[in-house]
Amino acid sequence: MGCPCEIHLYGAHANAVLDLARAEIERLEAKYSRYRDDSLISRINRSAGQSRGVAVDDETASLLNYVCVAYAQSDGLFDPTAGVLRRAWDFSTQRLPSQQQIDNLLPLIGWDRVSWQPPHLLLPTAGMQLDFGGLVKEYTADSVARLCREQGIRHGMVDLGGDLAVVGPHPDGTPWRVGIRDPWGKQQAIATIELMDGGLATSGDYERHIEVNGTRYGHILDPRSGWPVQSLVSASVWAPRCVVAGTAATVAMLKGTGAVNWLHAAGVHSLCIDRDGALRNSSDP
Amino acid sequence: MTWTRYLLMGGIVSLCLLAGCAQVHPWQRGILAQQDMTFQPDALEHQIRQHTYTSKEAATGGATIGGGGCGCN
Amino acid sequence: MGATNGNDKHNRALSALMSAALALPGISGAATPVTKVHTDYRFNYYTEGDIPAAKLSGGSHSRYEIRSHLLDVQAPLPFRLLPEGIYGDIEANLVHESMSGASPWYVKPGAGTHKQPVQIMSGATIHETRNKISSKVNLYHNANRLGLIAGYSKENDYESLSFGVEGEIDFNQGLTTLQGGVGYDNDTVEPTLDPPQPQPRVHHKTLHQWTVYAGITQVLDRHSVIQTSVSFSQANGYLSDPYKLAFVDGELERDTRPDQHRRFTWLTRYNHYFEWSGSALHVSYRFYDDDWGTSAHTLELGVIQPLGRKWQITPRIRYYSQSGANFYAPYFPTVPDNFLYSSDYRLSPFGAISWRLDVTRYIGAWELNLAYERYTSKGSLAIKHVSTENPGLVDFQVVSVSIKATFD
Repeated sequence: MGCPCEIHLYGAHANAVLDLARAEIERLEAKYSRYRDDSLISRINRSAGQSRGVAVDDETASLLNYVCVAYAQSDGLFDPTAGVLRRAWDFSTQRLPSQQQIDNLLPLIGWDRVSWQPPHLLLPTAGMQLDFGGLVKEYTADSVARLCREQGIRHGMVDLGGDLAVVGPHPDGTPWRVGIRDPWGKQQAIATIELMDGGLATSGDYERHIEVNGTRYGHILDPRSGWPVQSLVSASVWAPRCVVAGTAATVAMLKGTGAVNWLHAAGVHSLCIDRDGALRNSSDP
Repeated sequence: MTWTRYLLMGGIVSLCLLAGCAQVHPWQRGILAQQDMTFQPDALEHQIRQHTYTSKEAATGGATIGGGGCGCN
Repeated sequence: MGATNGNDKHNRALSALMSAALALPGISGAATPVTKVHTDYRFNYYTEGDIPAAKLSGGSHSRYEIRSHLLDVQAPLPFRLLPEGIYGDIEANLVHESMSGASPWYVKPGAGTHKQPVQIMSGATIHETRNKISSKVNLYHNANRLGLIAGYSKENDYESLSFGVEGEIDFNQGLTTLQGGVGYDNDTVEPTLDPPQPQPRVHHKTLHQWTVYAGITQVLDRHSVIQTSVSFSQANGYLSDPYKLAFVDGELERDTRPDQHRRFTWLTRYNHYFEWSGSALHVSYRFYDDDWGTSAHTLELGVIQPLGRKWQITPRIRYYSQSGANFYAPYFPTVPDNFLYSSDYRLSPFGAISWRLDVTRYIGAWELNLAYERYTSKGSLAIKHVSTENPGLVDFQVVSVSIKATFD
């Protein structure tokens, strides 16, 4: 998964269940990681521009259906085809891309350009790419939590690099206490969230950025323009499932100044940190 | 009793139903998955009610198996 | 996939995303096997109305009283017992029933000028117990299911062993489901001495039955689903009632029915959800036909109505109508050519109406239910005119209580 993963489980047979959990994480990574040439997602990406497309399995079909809903609910901001912008933006340098470089990539971006007629997926133009990065880690956390519950584990928590899914509270009924990182590193945690169930996902923009003439260009890129969004520093979202929390956190970062209003209207619980260091909550009224 | 006639009736009705169906996406199925939209929301209640009617009437429950018999008078 | 108004409570992004998320196999668990332990207990108290004096010519005027205890437990099968990709659950169902009362014995012509038939009831009050155990194992692969069933039932004079296999296959991303099954039943009858029967006595008889059914369930739209299924059964062996007699040409003869029975049932059920009130309407129609000359229609309507988050009421109404069997008559002036005769009210033409009200209360992982039902049968309720109704037609009431709980 390319991140520190921690699974906490209580139960007499917890060790056996951990083996199952590891197998599930490996299964989903092998299937959806774009870093692996033999993954399903890589095979889909290699098929871009061919007239036939790829026939996908039930699990991938439901993930693609989920993407349709997320794309619609985020007014086009949640878009797995936007990963190609990586080719123009290199945050290890301090150089901005040219508008021409971005214009060359924009025709390859847009979920509405993808042909999805279940079970056939077609990326019509060569060079188009699907990136499930904003989806798979959270889905894996949910899937592992569900697997643990099915195995009879009632108390536990799955933490895949900050994307959390709760199996159940501690055996004494107390919640899991999760610290939200202080973006400026001044304290251990800027806030602590207590979780009894559901999933938590955090999206942040406090590391890689390019600074040119005093203007900050973060790595949260708007798929419609190809340019960075003036985003929050971070958004932590709680939802009954981690995959939904992750989608909302990603969208919040892309919404820029409209983030808190969108989260409020979306009906999720969230904690946002803005550029001035202010903490803003939203929850279901 | 002409069974072939009944089979044909059942088949035609089924095909008509399938022809008129709307597309329902997986994310729209929440309501259908609810307990009170299943055909037997209370299994034990269904079991005892059907057993009672079958003991007092000529018709059988239909469309399931595994009821077993009894000397119900 | 159009734009939605983010402030409209019903279109909130959270519910849209959650609905889509719940369809993900990693979240819903691919198939729908049971993942928790479910227990369900029900107590059912059934009483029949007294037989009216005008219809009774002998024996007890009070009828049956049945107390039934039912228990059902369902639990998931452990992952490690099953091959990869296969999930499972197991169910155990127990029934303990105690019956007391008198039952109809025979019908004879009455004393009046029209010789309206009158009922003779058995005199003594019987006490009987029935115990039944059955078990079902379900195996799931994706959304397809295979079920294996076995059951055993025993009462003083009757023993039944049954087996069945059933399955469901999903098509069309779960919008269409095909289901079917086969069942086999083997029963043994060893009648007791009461009420007295003509010689030679029935000592030990057997019967067996095969049943096969097939059906389709189809999702019509977000709020409605329909299911239609047909079933055929064939029974062979001793199918008569050893405790009943028929008045044939002035003599009392044993109830004698054919030794084969073929039955056909066609059941259609439709559920519709009304979003404005949260009500679920259930409608069902069943057509029955057999080779004994009986056909029947059953129509049932029910509404499951939640009241707030903790309460629910379910009113139901049922209409039933059946025609009489070929070899049925209240009494027989002459011996029929085929020597088949029965005056059992259950083979007579009649119609019945019943209404039922259930009240359910939800408390955490528990569910309590209280129900009352009232059933009445009459010749005049049948679809086709009935010239003479059987004097033994029954009216009954049911009071029922149940408790359900779900455990992790």
